[in-house]
Amino acid sequence: MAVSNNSLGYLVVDGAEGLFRGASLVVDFRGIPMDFRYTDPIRPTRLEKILYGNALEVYLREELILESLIGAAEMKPSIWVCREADLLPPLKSITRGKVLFLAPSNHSPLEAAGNVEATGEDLSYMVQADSVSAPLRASFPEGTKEDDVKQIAAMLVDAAKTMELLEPFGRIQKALTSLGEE
Amino acid sequence: MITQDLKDYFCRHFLGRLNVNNLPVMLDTPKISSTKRKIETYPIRTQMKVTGSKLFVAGSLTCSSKGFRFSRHSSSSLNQTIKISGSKIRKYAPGEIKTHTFSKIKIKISENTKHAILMPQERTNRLKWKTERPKTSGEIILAWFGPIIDEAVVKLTLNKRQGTLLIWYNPQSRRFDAKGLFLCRRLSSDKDKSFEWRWV
Repeated sequence: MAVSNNSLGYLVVDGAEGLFRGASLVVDFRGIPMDFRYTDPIRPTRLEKILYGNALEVYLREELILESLIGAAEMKPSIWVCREADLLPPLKSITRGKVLFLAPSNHSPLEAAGNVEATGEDLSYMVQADSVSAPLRASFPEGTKEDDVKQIAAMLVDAAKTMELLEPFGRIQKALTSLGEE
Repeated sequence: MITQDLKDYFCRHFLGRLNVNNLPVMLDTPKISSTKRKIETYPIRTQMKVTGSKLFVAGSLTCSSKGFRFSRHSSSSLNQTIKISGSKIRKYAPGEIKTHTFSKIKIKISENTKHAILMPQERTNRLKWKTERPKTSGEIILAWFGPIIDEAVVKLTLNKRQGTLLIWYNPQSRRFDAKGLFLCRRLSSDKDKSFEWRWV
């Protein structure tokens, strides 16, 4: 796996209506794709649902889809970004690199781009990545040090100068839809 | 003896012509009754009825159900009637037993970076956050889209339905300088020429 500085890896794992699928998109700081991988949709059979029981969803989302996607990616991004908070711990243990959960917020803007404010929840922060949007809600996995948070926030600020940070999630969703229609 | 003589006499004279019946003079057998009393015994307890006696062998199962308990050792419980229902077990003889092996769920990962490169990026109108705006009289600013690497842009399209800007970049470009794009409307010009895009 080639290491790429100044790149972000976006991960989407869906499990709506019993249909599981996932995709990863590694982009440079302009949002231009460097690596895109996706899984075929998986619909567990009745037998599989019985045999795996409550562990089915966790197994599919974390072990099967997430691990396979990260393992298959040829570009190793500086940071892996996910939009499901429950994926953070497995993402951290699989990649052993910098990971975070990123989501929009309705919070009023912080004073300046680059500002980071703790939300009160453990390892959850408001990050003002640029001056033209509301701050983003960022969460980090257990064991993340404050220095790591600052370093990641600085990278997000850098990337936000040339791209919209949450935009790739929408692109992945559209790509999965269009590939599913083919 | 007289009667016998008369019988003989008439027999000789009327032989074959008269029926002669013998009427033995016999007394009925006298009825003998015993003065000995006969004792009849009746059990005062209810008749014992046991069904399914296999349950009552020594050290057998203790039977109990809601509201009823059948003690293993109590003999009085034998007075209870236990109903055992069931049906004859039919002989089950499967023809062929099929076995299936269960394999783990497999996943296929596909790569399609080319498809992702061909997809446009989308920018939303972030004018409400943009405090620095061009101040030109006679025009109003409708939208601001950014950041956009203007020198890497291949094509821009305004999605009028959603109010977003679609951007296709040249993936080979090495440019990283971002700009913003204002959409302005001149108030005093023709309708066709009233909209203007301005890089800032």
